[in-house]
Amino acid sequence: MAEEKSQASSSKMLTLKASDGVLFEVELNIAKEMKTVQAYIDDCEDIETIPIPNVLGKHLAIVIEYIKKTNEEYDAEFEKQWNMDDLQLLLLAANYLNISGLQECLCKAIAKRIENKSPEYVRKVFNIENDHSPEEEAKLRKEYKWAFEGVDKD
Amino acid sequence: MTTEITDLSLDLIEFILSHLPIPTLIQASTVCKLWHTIISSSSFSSNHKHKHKPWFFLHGIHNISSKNNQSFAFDPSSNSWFLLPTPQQPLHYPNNTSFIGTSSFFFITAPNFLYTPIINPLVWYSTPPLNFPRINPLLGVFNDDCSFKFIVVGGVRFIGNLVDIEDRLDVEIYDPLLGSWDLAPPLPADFRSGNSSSSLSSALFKGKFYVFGIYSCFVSSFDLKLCVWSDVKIVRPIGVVFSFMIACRERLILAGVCNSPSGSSFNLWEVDEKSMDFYEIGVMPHDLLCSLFDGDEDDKFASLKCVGLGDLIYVFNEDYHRMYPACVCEIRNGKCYWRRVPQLPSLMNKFHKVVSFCSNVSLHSILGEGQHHGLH
Repeated sequence: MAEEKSQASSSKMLTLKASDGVLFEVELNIAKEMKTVQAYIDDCEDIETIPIPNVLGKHLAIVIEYIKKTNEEYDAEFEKQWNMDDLQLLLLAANYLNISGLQECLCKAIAKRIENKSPEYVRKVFNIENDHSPEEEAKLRKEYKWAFEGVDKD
Repeated sequence: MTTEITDLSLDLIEFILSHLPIPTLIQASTVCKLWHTIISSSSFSSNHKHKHKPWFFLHGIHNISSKNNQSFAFDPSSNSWFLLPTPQQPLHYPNNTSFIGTSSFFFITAPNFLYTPIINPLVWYSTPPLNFPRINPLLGVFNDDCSFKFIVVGGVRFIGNLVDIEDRLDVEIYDPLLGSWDLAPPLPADFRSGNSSSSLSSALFKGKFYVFGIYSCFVSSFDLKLCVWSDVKIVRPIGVVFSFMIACRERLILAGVCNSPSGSSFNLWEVDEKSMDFYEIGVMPHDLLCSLFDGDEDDKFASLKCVGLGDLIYVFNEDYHRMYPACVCEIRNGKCYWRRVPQLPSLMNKFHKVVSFCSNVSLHSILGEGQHHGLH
């Protein structure tokens, strides 16, 4: 992740423009953690404002703050603040901007939240339609009954 | 609640799923057909974040009534115990026949050789009988090119219902493509076969089958390609009382009870597989050791067993009355992280004997299409 976050050597500033028009001024080395932005800079060296069409201002703000602050402690607390919708939108943002550390952090967080949940809950979270027939689903549940019934200690 | 804007791509969903433990993934495979296909694919299993965290199995055997047998499995990724389906007793086999568990399978080694997958033990598969049927051998399952093979080492010769302790039995390797058992030189004479699984520990590591004397500290390795045994060496750290050899991900580990002027401890050493030099990498916290073995008797560690694979080492007290207390050590970046394994559920039946081992669990084997489990 960003090891030299605010070194004097990279004091050049860049403007990122979110999909809803909100502007963010960031240091070059922060922006470079977003590989998508890095590629943009590589292509057009003099650019000063980079459009980020897929990400809302509120999420871009969170992403930028993550890059500035990320470390083990921050990451552990980071995901607790957001609801499932925001987590998914942040993941889409991190994926678009190509920030691998944030993607990993968010995927782990989403996984943790669906870990002991029922398939019905999971379908709602990801907006998925169940195309198993009732018989197929019953057969799977029966065959792997043990996986649906973790044994709790007394 | 959600709109199309939040629909994640399949890649992202797959990446999220790869962080989940296996039991949750089995449930998730019922979400829809696409998820079932993704989760049961072999590439998903290869990318699974928990694939180096093997499960710990305790299979309890009741000598008289096989209906009381139970198979418990501990998943370290979800930190939970599961009660698995118990394999059916094969016809004509008394309940206390030589029954072994190791990577992925349960085995019965005498008079005929049978195996069944540990997670879905629906059917027993058979191979031709061993050239020398035996009980309590060391058994390993290894991959060779496209299929897997079984290697059987040592054990006590089984002739009818008699047991013959004198023979040094040849090593036998089962090749599914030939459908037969090949013979290979027996364990070097320095090892006394006898009750192999009680006095020897084995580990498959970098193309070799290591055999290690738990009390004698002798070690020799069988080269799986060349089919020869290495010279016998001794690996005995100072103060070691007894120890086990374990194949972890990239390291060969020695794990054992050590006496020093300040008391007993359970230590881990990394062993260089070429020179057999070793150096200590970790010690079990003293209070953890005390929670597994209490009392002051000299032989309180007699029921201590240790198994491991991948990134994990399990240490447990094979004591029915204490309900098999266990702990697990995770080796991460060269450091050891110890924690207690949760208590076994009290719905445990009465057992006379327990078969305990460690095994990787692959979703692809459990859910994959064509669950042929047989070697063909």
